[in-house]
Amino acid sequence: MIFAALDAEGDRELAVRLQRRDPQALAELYDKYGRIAFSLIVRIVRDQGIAEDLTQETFLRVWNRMAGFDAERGALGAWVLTVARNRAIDYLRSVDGRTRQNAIELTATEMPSVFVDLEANLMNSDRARQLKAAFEKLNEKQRLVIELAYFEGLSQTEMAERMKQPLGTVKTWVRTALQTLRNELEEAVPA
Amino acid sequence: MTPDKDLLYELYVLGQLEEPERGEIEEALRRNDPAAQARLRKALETNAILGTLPPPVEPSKALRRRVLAIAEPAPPSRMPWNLAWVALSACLVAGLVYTGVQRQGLEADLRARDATLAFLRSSETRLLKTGTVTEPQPVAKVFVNGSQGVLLVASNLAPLAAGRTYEMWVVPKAGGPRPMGLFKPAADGSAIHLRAGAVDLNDAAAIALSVEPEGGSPAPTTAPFLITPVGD
Repeated sequence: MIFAALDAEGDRELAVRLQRRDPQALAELYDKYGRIAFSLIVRIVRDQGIAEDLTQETFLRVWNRMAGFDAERGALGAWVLTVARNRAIDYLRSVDGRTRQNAIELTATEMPSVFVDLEANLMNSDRARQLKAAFEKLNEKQRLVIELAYFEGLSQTEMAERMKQPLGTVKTWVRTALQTLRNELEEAVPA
Repeated sequence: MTPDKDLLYELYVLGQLEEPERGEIEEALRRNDPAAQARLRKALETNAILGTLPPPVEPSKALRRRVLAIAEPAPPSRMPWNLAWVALSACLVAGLVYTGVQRQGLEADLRARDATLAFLRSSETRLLKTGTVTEPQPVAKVFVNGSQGVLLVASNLAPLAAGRTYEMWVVPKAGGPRPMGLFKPAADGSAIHLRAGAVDLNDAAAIALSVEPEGGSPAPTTAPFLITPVGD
């Protein structure tokens, strides 16, 4: 299962070796997170050749920025996935020629230093399946806006234009969808 | 109605939050507000899990080789004569600084040098106007390459206080500066900082530096300087 690769065990030691510029550690990082990062990028750009380029760019960025990562407290998998998504969304924005006025900058949310103290077993299979189940509970409109936001990087204004809906309506769908996902996760995994 | 703060952070990491809420969150994060950091962590968790939703797709074996090549030094090759002086500098600058990575010894230095040379060898790399009129010191040369990134070669940079670092920025034509990596200069004030990765030069107005707390900032917290316009 793809989720099995997301076990956080061993990431601390792996991060330390990456910071020492150990090439074998990069191989292990790729073997652990390469397929899920690639799958995410394919979903976003829908082209396996481009996805390979962007996956390589993802690991290059992670490799180059490891010094800023907190090996003791950091969440390596979450960081890799975030960088992967951002690379793919940046690509979509560049080919679409979307203006930066509407495309909110993502780089600040992928700084390695912010990926600290995330839940230890964040991406274990149960949690991931719970979110998937919660995602399926969203109504069609809510699911669509989350997909447009997460997998296409559209702003709410852009979504409103594409869906030919009032901006306020789209904002309501986005907020309701996110609240529903959070509530479902909190009910499934009490704090 | 009072906005749901968790929701605002979820929108922020999703790239959906607009001003003024976005600026308020970034300000709270700059202050190291514990509540803001906790909400950010929670939102990052949800965002990362969303990334597991797509069905698995098996990448090619060639991709693995390409990724592993990242850790290998670039093979030697010839370079344009007009960039040779920078390459020479790259070899000689003892306090090489590269992509905010703290050096872990000679091997890391060599890899950084190889990456820098590879960047300079690219035919797409071009040199921007150097430094600024109002600031004769320090000085910098900035090389840009839309598909490969930005390379800064600086000298006479002021020494940093403890717990501070230099951060490079791309200043877009609209919106706030985007972080382009951290670095510290050598004892003589020189630095070479390569931020690898695609950069949208059509959208970029300038490259700039600022002094930031260790670990960097999502937006400049001190006045940017060495502002180098990006133009054709």
